[in-house]
Amino acid sequence: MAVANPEARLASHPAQAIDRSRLVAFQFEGQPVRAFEGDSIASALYAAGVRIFSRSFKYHRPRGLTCVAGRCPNCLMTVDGVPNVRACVEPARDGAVVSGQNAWPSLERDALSVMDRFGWAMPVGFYYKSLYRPRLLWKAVSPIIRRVAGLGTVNVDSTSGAAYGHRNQHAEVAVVGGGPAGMSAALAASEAGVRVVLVDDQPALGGSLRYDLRAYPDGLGYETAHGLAGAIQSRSNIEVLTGATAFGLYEGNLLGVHQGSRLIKLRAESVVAATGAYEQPLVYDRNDLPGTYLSSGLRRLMHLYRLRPGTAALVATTNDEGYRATLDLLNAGVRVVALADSRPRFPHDLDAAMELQSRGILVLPSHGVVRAEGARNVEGAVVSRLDGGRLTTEEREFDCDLVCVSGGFAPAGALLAQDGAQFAFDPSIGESVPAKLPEGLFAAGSVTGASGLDDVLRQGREAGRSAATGGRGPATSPSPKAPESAAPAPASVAPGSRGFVCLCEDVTSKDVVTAIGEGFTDIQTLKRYSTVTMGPCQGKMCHRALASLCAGETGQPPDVVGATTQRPPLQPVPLGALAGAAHLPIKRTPMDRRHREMGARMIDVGPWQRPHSYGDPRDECLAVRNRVGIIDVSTLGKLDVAGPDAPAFLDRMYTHNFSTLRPGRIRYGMLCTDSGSILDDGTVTRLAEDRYFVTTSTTNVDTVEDWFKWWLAASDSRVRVTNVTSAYAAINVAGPSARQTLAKLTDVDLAPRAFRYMRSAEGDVAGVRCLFLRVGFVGETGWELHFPAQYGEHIWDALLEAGEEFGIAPFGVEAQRVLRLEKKHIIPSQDTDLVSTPLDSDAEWVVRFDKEDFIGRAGLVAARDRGARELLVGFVMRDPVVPSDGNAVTVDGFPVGRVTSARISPTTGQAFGLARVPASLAQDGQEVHVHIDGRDLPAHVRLEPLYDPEGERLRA
Amino acid sequence: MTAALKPPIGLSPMHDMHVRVGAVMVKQDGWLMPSRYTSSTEEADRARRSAGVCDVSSAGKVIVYAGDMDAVLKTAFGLDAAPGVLSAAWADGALLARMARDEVWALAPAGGAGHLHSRLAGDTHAVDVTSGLAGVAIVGPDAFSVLAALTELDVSSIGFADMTCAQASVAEIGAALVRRGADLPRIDLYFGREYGEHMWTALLDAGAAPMGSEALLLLSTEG
Repeated sequence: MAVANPEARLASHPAQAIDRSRLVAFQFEGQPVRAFEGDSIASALYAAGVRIFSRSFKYHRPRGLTCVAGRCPNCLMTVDGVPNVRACVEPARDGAVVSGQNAWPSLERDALSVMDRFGWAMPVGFYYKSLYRPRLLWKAVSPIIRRVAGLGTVNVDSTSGAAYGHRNQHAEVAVVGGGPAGMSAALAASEAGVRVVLVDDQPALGGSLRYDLRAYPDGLGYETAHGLAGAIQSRSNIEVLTGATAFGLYEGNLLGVHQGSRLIKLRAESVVAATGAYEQPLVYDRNDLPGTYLSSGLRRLMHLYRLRPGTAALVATTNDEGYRATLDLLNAGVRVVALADSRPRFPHDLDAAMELQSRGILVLPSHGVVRAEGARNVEGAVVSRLDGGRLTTEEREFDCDLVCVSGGFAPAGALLAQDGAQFAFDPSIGESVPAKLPEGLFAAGSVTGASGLDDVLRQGREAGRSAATGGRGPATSPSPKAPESAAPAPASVAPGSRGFVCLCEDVTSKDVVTAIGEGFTDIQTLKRYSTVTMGPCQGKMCHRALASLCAGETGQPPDVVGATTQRPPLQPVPLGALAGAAHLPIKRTPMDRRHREMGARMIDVGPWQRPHSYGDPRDECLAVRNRVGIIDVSTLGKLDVAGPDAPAFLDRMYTHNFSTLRPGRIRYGMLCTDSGSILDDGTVTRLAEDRYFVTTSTTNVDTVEDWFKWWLAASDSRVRVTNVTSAYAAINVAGPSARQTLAKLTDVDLAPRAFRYMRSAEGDVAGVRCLFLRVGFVGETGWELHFPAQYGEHIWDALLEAGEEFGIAPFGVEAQRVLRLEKKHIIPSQDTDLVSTPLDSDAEWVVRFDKEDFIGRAGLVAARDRGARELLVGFVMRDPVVPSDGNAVTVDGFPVGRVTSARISPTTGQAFGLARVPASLAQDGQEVHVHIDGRDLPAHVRLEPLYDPEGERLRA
Repeated sequence: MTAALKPPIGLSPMHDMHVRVGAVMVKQDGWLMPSRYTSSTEEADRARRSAGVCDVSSAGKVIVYAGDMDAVLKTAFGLDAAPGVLSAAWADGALLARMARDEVWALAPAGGAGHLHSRLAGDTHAVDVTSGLAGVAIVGPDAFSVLAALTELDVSSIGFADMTCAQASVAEIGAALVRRGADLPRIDLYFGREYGEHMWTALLDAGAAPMGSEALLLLSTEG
């Protein structure tokens, strides 16, 4: 193929999209291909002699260009590593690397085309009918099926993810479709002075006018297109997105637009859908042979890319377009062997028809195409006379190398349908057209069923103006009905085993008929069973044929058959584009850099990254127990609760009392839901009469903040809740040498009698103002220091330096979990679940039934009166085997409870943990078993904490 | 207490990002901030042409709540005409961004939070969020398109007019935005400091180039 053959191109024409003075070069299957600027990859390959552009999904049949508009699945290729690119609308660009898909070794010679002989083995509903017995069969066969059937292959090692990006855009009016209706809508809206975004999926504006050589009052078709496009270019308030597919219309007029590697979220006050109509193929035997084109596809090929599509053509049509295409073929020097029109009468009022007659072209009214001949490309075609819409045996055979078909135009109403537009079946054109549109949505052009350029332009102008001015406007003003002779005839379906309804998934008319015979008479279930409309074209090429087959076979009228639901995306969108740039919001503490420098293994705790450990967690535990350790607890949720009503408010929120707490003191608090189940826990420090510092667990701060504000919203309490989590870094300094370490950095009196357990103070540490909280989650003498976040590294460094002489060590989340477990301190959500209350979670002491009302009181009173069915208890394994979270606690082999946390104690070497067990088993020393790896291993219940049960070390 | 202690120095959440690319860091009002990455004139030029992003996390930030905000602004800042909701106004070197009828974000140069705080009196509730919020200034004609990659808020030149403010999700996290430059667009963005690296990376990926405080000063003195 190598170099583009100049012979392949027709003489230059003003409508052409290519610029012959500028060359681009790319690679196809390792060979260099030269193209003109303006070429699509497919048009350049066509010029270079390529005719097979893909291999079909199941049967590996050769497929060639058909729609040349990015609608059908016949030219999907891999471009620069991206699979399933529509080569017919993808601009040829220098250096691109293009290859075929679903073929081995190549598109031209695909060994897998042997699949075409095994159609009998792949009936419709294949996956429902086979490979389910024996069960292992599917496991063996599915990898083969996945290799043999399908589309392109995603390169999972690709690191090009970062290239994908999102953009948000706003406009008063968004117009979808850059054809004549869309362009005039955009211009009219722009003249009203609003921001307009025009979205079009083709490489250039113009729609079908781009390749329309007919004369109109204002000039030739393409001249009108160029004129409108030029006018749009000159308007500063219109932004044009070409090569961009609006794949979905979501609530609030949000359009999802995919353009190259970008996903654009376009929000508009009004949307004008000028999405046009899709030309439909015909169903006959071997209707998929390369050399078969939609009439619009042929005209694109000829007029935009100046390619000669063949030497002899048979044209089969159900409407006037076939006549115009025939004329275009003749003008391009292609011999036309015959024109078969399924309509009974010759259209005398059509200029093109009269001209064909005068040029002696054989026109066959009441004729349809029955089959094409050839194996790798069209070599001939057979037509048959129709009688009352049914094929007869009066056949005529023609030699030709291309078949041009036009099965009419189906309005592209998917976007309208997604926004809730209602459709009605219009028998005069045999299509469903929008009948009622929701507010802010407008339709114009052939999507409304309109034909005739004047009508289309007028509709566009009206829709654009109404959309810009917020009017409701006559969105779908009825267009004058086409003359009867121009009305398309329903397409017949010819028999044969290779008449494809669905090109995407290789489903034939026979398959559909079989499926209907099997009982799938509803179009929605017929779709799911046969997979028609579920492939890459999403129904653009097949929905009409499916609906008419369904109507014909079931005897229902078309408006009863209806349509399948057209969900977004209406065109395939790469997942990478949906995902966008790989920016996962990660929360980092102010000391993050230090942890990494010290070699910490970081883990995700909710949205935060925290050190799991810096080395061996056991060593870290022992450092805290025997010397001194520091842990970054900046992730703790922190709320500033202030105002004269703050004490009463906290009394109401928590099960405990806080109005009685004296300033400078700390109390543990538990929050319950209305039903009394545990929401979160933390410490509450009274800073002043009217101000508290509340901590929450790391992942719950937003929930607690919302919870507080939700309750405040309904009251007139003078309380301000401010989330200050980000503002404070926090470090817990704990261990027998914590006091000596801190004393080197502060003037605050830390002596046991001066600074008692559960007291707070403010003072400087290493020159930074800190809030000291003497609390003890890990069970040692210790202080939680809270200070402005920008000094995180400063204080961290100062503590490590000061503690060096005492053998200080940083410890991570894992050591903290072990240490707290030894102290039997619970972690909500780890040791509790949605129905756990403080009463069954070893925290009955925090519930003050003697105070007035509080959130969850009624539920807790009921729970108290009912008595707990199960309780959270400690347990110790006889042997040092650690159960996993959730392992069953068993009695006599039956599961009766479950482990919530378990570890090896670095202090005693025992395996131990917390478990929920029936209340009757919550006795110190009670023998139970824990189910680990298929065995019930002995353990006993221990009610006291494993470490320092009296809390002497904590208070020391 | 030991004697020889290093004086505390505030670090921005993006500190590590600056250091890693070799920024020149200088002490400013108790913070260590990037003054330039390459050359301040180059960085300013780039911002004039496209978009630069400057770390302004050290700025003083105070959120003020008051029932009668107009009166508070008049007493505290001498503002006769208080900015409307989602508008901003300058008052004595501080930028006052009114996020709601009863909520104003007062933004001052580094170290200015205390000064802002001291002006407030009467029935107000003020929270110094200087430590909690990271800040960046996005400067240049492409500031709008950089942000459009990251937020659904209409941040076009028309949709987000000069001296207006908003709160929106930017790069998937909650942020406050204030536009404070007409000729050379400047949009300041404030967000939770724990997301510093995330936001900085997202802004650079969206097309903004890092810019030090020297370049920002150059641009702002041009008027």
